[in-house]
Amino acid sequence: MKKAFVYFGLQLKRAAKYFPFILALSLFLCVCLGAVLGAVVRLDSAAEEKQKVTLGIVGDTQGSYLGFGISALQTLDSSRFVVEMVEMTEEEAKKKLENGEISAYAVIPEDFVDSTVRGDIKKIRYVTTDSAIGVTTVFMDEMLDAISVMLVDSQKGVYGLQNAMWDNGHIAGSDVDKLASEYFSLILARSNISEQTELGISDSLSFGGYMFCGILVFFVLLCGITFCPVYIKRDVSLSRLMRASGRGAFSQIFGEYLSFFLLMLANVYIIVCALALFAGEHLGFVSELSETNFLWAQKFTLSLVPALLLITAMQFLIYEFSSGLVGGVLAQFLSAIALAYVCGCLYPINFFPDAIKMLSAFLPAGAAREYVCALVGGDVSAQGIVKIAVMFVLLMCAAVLKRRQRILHS
Amino acid sequence: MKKMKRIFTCLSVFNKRFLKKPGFIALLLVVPCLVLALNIASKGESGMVTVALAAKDKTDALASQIMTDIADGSSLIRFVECETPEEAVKLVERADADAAWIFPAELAGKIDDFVENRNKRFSFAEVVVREDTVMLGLARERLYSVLYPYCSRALYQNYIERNVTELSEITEEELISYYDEINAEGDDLFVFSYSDAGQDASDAANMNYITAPVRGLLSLFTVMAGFAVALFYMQDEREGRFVNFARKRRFPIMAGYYFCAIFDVAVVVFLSLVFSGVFYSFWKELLLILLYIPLCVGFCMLVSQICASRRLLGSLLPLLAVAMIVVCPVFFDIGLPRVITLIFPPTYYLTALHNTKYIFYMAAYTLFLFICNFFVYRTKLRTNMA
Repeated sequence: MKKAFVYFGLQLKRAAKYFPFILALSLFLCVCLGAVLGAVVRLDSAAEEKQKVTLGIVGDTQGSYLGFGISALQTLDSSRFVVEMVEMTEEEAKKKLENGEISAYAVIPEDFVDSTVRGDIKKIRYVTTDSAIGVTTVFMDEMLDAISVMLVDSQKGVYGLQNAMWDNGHIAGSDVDKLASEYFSLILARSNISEQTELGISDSLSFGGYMFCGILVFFVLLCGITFCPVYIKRDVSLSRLMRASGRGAFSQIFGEYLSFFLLMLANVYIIVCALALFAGEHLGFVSELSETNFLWAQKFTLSLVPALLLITAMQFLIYEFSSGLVGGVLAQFLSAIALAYVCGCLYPINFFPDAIKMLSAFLPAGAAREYVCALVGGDVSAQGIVKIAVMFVLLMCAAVLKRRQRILHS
Repeated sequence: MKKMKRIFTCLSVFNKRFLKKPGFIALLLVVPCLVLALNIASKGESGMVTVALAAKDKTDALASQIMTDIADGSSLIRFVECETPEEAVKLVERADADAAWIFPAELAGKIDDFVENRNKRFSFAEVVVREDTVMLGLARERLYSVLYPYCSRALYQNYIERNVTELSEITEEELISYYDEINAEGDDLFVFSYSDAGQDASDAANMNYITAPVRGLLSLFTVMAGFAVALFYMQDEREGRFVNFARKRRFPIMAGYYFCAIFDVAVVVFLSLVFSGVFYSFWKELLLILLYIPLCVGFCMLVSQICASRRLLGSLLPLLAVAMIVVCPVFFDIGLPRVITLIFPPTYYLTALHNTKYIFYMAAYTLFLFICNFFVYRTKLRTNMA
């Protein structure tokens, strides 16, 4: 055991040479991820002052029901908290779309109002760019579906009355105008259809709290890349020599893994302290972290140890399986991004189908994310810790077996 | 000719070095498998928000019809039908659902009441949420859009019945036929298109949000492969593997070295795209990936030449990965100025798919990167840093 600790000390010294670099960049990375977290949470917040999507409106809307409708939507309707509509020419819209100043623009056909009066509702072209494709597009598609239904059904009512009047030899005048304004008022009052009760987040996490946990796990996963040049072994001649002198695979893995884990823990500890001391008041968007201080940082880092053990064990196993730097870096990156995505670190896990949810619970990143969520939510269960312990032991056994195999067969 | 042969020999030797590594090969094989698995798994039932639906009176035909209409056809919202309102609220309390929508008994009567007294807060549908979010706001718009046709029809009938005496002799059926005769071109008022007018955008709205980031992630993977090669190149250089080549002539050797590994990864990325469900068209995809390879070579070479140390580059990799995830439109577009997003190669690859202009931008940026690379290389040679 003493030999193992001597080897651990040497490994720690070797890896510590990289630590200042890793720490400096981790702090910078942390600031970047913090900014991302803030942006993501603010994008999802239903706060009134935040407009989420800017939509350009192209086409002549002046002096028509349409123009009145658009300005009514922008001043009175609840959709103004989600979509901001700005009228512009198509050239302007194209330029703004390319510069990312608007998310999309809608082109209203020239004879849109006239054709609607004739009973034919023409299609509006919704122009987007592929950079917005993904959740934003699917989101806008849902929004536009809802707008379509409201506009089309209102037009049916207004122009249905108009046609009925004409066909029966009457003049379609003020009644049609009045019905149109009734429809406007119906659209604007649609939120009165429902009465909303907010239960509060109670024992589960807020969206901000969840994303904080996810991004913390993602950060630790990414840090595995930085240690690649230290822990990836291209040849095992030293390991064979050590085995000959009585330090077997277990002793070697123990020394190397412990040094890796301690450096990762130190990295996370410094970042959590920095977060508690300097960013506490800026973390208002994460309601669970509203009372962070230096003491909280100590307790929180200590409580994070099971999750860190699990993630570092997985990263260490990847180092062990990597025979070269290229494969190692790519494997660390791929595992970080793929696991973070599938295990709900980048999107909430509820977004995924049941098959992925079930799988993520048995992946190291998923188990670690679940544990960190439970920790922040104040709901850590013994079952969760046992699951992490079992996974940790399995991963470490796999690492020892792989080292033994490499020593014997190299 | 002899020179060309020598270059090809060099390239094949470099490529052999990468392809002899079982770890590298295994990793390349894993990528298409992962993408295929994600594509299959994404076909399962999913949603960005889960809404529990319940009716106070299970026998109310209108409530059942509305619940069926709501659950039909949304790709972002997942609906779960519950037996009782209590069960729906419990799902929200346990965070198994984000919201519960509970419909009252005698819904038809409530619709008429709402149309008459629309400016009062109405308990027409009871909505229970844990916390309000934009997604839930969107989900409510779906609720309104399903209920709106019933309200619209009721408003039309009630208004004519009460205010338009000229039409008092017309039967209810005739009135409804006037309403139904107004023709819209299909159900959707909006048709999707790209800013590049020649491009069909019918695929955009039907995209699965789970596989949507796959293209972006694969493009990131290619760039990260370039950085991994940079680390490997630095290691080889330090170990003196290029001493046979004069220092002044090492630039094409360096480019060839990067090219080989990135080419292998690009082949795998191309195959993965085929399995991903986001593959566009063979020739367009082929053109893009062929242009993307030199772009990644140029970008990774430049960054690694500037960093010059394995330690620094290795530590920078997570930062570069996060920067690309945030700046390039991989998961979401956070609306950064285009000039910033154009620094990173994935932006060109992702945007050029539907905007032909970016194919030229990609070629121009590649050329610019190689000029910069050559300049940095010459400067380092002059200052004896290479």
